[in-house]
Amino acid sequence: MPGPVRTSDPLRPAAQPSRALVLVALAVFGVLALGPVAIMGQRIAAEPAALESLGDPRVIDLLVRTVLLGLGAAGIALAIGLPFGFLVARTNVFGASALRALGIVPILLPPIMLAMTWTMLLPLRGPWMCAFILGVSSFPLVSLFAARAAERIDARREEAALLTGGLRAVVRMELPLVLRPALGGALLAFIVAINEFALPDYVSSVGKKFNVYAGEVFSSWQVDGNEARAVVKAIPIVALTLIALVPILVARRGRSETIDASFQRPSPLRLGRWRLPATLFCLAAVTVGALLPLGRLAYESGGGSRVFSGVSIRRMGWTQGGGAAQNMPTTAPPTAAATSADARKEAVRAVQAAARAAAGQDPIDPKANTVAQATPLQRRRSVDFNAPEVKATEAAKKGDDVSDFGQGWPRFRENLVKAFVRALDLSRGSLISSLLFALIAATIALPIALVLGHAVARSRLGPLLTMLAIVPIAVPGTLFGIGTIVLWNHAATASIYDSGALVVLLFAGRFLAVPILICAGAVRSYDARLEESAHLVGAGPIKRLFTVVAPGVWTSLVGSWIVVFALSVRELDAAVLVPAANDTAMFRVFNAVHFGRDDFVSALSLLVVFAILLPGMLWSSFGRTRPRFLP
Amino acid sequence: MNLRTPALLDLRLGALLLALPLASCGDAPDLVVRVSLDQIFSEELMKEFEAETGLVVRAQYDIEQAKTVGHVRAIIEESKSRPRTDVFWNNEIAQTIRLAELGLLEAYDSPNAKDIPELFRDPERRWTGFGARARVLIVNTDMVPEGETPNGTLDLFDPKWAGKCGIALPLTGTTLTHATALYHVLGDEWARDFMQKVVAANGEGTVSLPNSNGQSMTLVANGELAWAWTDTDDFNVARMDGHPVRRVYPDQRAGDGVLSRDGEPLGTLLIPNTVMLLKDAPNPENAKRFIDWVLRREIEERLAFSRSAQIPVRDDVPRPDYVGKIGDFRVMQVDYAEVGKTIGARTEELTETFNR
Amino acid sequence: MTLPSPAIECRGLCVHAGRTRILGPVDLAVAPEEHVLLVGPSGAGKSTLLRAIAGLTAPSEGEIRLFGDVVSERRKTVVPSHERRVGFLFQGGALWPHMSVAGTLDFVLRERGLDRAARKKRRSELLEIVDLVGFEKRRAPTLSGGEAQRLSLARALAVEPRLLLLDEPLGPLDAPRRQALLDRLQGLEQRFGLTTLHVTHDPDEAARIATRSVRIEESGALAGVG
Repeated sequence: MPGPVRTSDPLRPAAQPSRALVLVALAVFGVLALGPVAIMGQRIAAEPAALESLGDPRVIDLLVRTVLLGLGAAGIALAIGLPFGFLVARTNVFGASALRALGIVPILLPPIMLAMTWTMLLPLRGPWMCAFILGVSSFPLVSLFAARAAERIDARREEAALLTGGLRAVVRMELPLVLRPALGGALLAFIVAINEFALPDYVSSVGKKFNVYAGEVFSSWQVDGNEARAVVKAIPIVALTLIALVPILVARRGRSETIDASFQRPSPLRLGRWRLPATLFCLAAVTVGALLPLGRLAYESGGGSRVFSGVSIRRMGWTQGGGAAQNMPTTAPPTAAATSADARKEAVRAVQAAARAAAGQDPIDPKANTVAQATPLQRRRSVDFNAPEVKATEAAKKGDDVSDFGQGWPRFRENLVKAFVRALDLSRGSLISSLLFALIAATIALPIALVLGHAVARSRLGPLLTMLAIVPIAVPGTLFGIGTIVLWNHAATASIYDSGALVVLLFAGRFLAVPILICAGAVRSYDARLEESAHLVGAGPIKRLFTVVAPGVWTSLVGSWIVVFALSVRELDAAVLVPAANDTAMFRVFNAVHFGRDDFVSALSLLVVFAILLPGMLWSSFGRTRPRFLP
Repeated sequence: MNLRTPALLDLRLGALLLALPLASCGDAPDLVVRVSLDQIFSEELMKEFEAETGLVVRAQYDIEQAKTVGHVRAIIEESKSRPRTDVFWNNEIAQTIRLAELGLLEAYDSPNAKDIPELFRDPERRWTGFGARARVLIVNTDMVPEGETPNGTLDLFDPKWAGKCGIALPLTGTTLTHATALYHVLGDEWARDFMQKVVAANGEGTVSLPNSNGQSMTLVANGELAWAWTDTDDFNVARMDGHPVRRVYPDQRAGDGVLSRDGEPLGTLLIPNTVMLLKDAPNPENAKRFIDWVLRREIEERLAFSRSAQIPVRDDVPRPDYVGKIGDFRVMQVDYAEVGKTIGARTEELTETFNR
Repeated sequence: MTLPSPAIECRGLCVHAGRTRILGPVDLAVAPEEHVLLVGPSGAGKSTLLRAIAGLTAPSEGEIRLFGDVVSERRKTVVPSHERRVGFLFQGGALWPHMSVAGTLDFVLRERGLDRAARKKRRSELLEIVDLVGFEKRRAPTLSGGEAQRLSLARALAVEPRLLLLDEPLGPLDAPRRQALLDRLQGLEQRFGLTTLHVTHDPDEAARIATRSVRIEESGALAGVG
């Protein structure tokens, strides 16, 4: 049996990258991705005493707790992702390919969207709920790796196991082969979990607070003269990320390469009586991670509970005394009592009557339980007809917000369409800039990633380059955003800083690590002899890279592009600091959450999710091959 | 395979890479405004200002997740190399004082601010306050009968409300300003003790600490909590969305749960919007035009009638009945300048107290 | 006196991939302890026939009997592959890359239900048979072509097979190693009374240990018997 092709072998100079090209790509990477981090690192150098703040027992305590949360989330991600990945990639579960595609969605959804759904459905709060949500949201990281590893097992090797002990022997033989990459995915889930602070904060809103280390990092930025300490606080997160990466890199070195030139793709394993339970397991995983959160958004886009139950009432405030503080003198007489559901239903009828009256420009009947609040409505029209709240009222008058209580499906469908039309109408510009920024960022990142990915795979400095590449994505978003401001806000770069170009450079810089790793993985499993044969006919390193390697790893290039695009559309933490970046759809979603318009927010959230998934969906509809998303 | 074509391809690729970021460059704006009032309210105003003046405005909005870290930190960092922001429209005041203390504000006495009470104007005219919010209690009317409503700050510790009341984590936003004000008004020792009690109560599960005022509102509106502290704008959103809620101005009349100083109830904290001209603003003249525009009486009126229900600081500006007047309730007497000066140190202390 | 049942008996055996017939119809009988060479052009279905006999592919038509028992018939696997006592030498070895030499054999023996002591004993025997004593800790990817093929053979023997199915096992080896492996195979067949079906591209080389050869034509049908 031929040994594995050692692709980073120094004995293969003909597969080595172009030094000049690598240096250029490194320079670009250095500026876009490392620059913002390095420039903030300078602040520690200016005040080394800030390092002492890491020794605080409270900080250490938070760090330990965060690590435990990360391990819990990684464990849950592993428990779901490993079987899920194996089942959808290698067995005859019903609808395997659809389940597989849906199985990527949870990692693309902002975890807070999952949290909003799951805190509604489960009474669980605190660390366990955090670990659950983070685990569910990051299980695709595990399942993608597990699926790919399972697919790379040669059919004959699997058959050899099948001959010795049937399905059980196959599982026993393959588990170690799949477990290692799956553990790598779980470590990535760990990295995601330790960086999250909005979610633990949100999930422990009721009951005992569950604080994590990333929250401490964020809070540090609020104190003046504290910048050095704020940067220092990011060090443990970066260190933990790099430590988590070491096993992945080491594992790769001693990796059991299961693909060679005569590789035979294994056929799906027949599960027999386990087929249905296995399918149900996979379905449950995508339901928990994707279908339920998306379903909830769709439900709320269509008016949700007010349409189906008529009890959760919106806009009742138009007629109610709820606005008048009970312990302040009121100028309006008391209105429909708001202390019981019956009274509120009564009030709804009053609202509907008032809305009809308003729509018909009829004078409002004072006996219809509508009081002075009608005056502001009319008054506002005289103030400004274009104010958003007046527009909302106008929309409400037309019947989608006020008179739809308890009207069921037909109204739900109607509302759904209206919510989407409105979300699209109000946020078209933001959606377009989101798509444009992400599209350009992904396109810029691609060639840099190809060059550096090739260098990572083929040169002895690969592990070092990998570690460097991971830094920009490991640092907290706030630090990267501030670093971007500090780096680019100069007279010489004014035209970039003051324009959307900065957003593009921020996205490309922050996420370059991902396509670099994907490309490196692809090049590693690409036979170096093909480059050598191009070398023999006189092709230089640049030509070899673009004409031999790139076409050979093009599915990974497509995957890289899609991943950078998706990450850019959903980026928020760093972008919120940078001028021009806040005209993005993701920004609008979080802005509108505060405004409390559930149907609008939900419809807009679904549009953002759609935008995130768009290239992936387009590719799977029209592309002939599956893009590769993994290193 | 033809190995010759790629040289041309490389060139085109390089050109494309250069062109892409350039393509996303736009014209420089005539005015850069950072706004922490919700985009949904402020965006229309920005557009109107543009339409009225013909100026191109780059408005930078905020989100609740970023708290005030976003704008203030960005302004501070920009000021170190090349100030880019002309005007900051802050929806609260303590961070404004912080910027003033750092010397990042330029004095500007807007002619439109003449009828704004001195309480809401910086003596040095570096900032001007308008349209205020009050720190109130939002109470779920289904869960709390009319006669049993909480009255003040200390009701947080009333066993009657164990597990049913909350206050947003006081590390950001108006809750941070509120906490800092308590240090200032009631003294460090009292405030420290109070904060420790809140942490202890949270540890026992009797007081919840939501991550924002918006979430406090949602939790009460959905009946997960009976009542919580929030701001009047969040309360109003819940009210307009038809949730069973009522508003309580806390610490108004002496009694159980009410916080007092020298035998007098402490009153409700009022937090105005503030607008300010940044030092070394790239477009100072346009900035002044904008500040004048925002400080017009009509804008205060519009904010009063909007979903954010801001309380006009000028007594005679029209408003809906549910917005009320500043004189309708007892206002906590607080020196905003002092609160702003200490907010940095308090943030550190409160982080150490609550983030554990 | 009744004649013993054929070790392998295929009747009207066809295998389809989708609508394309990739093998058959094949009628073949191999007597116990025969060593039959299976020859024919690439893509004729030689490997498919071996896989069908091993139970790795279900026939679309016809039936397969091993030692008189029906093991597969028309789209149905009657006896699962791991209960057929078939040793299979795959093209290229198909060794498990993450396991050591000892680990590979241990894996199989554990599947056969042997306890620790029995496994150790049997493992030593197998390693001695294929001359890999001292290689226990080496991982599969570090073995040379000949060593890998010998480990593959030991793995096949570990299931105590009645049948050996060889899918071009000599492919990657040089001439002296091919001869050595053939000698070893011949010895084992005689020692354990094995029946062997041997797919090869080079019938001349293996002719000295074969009892006869069978040719599959490009059409996928069994054509001639040599």
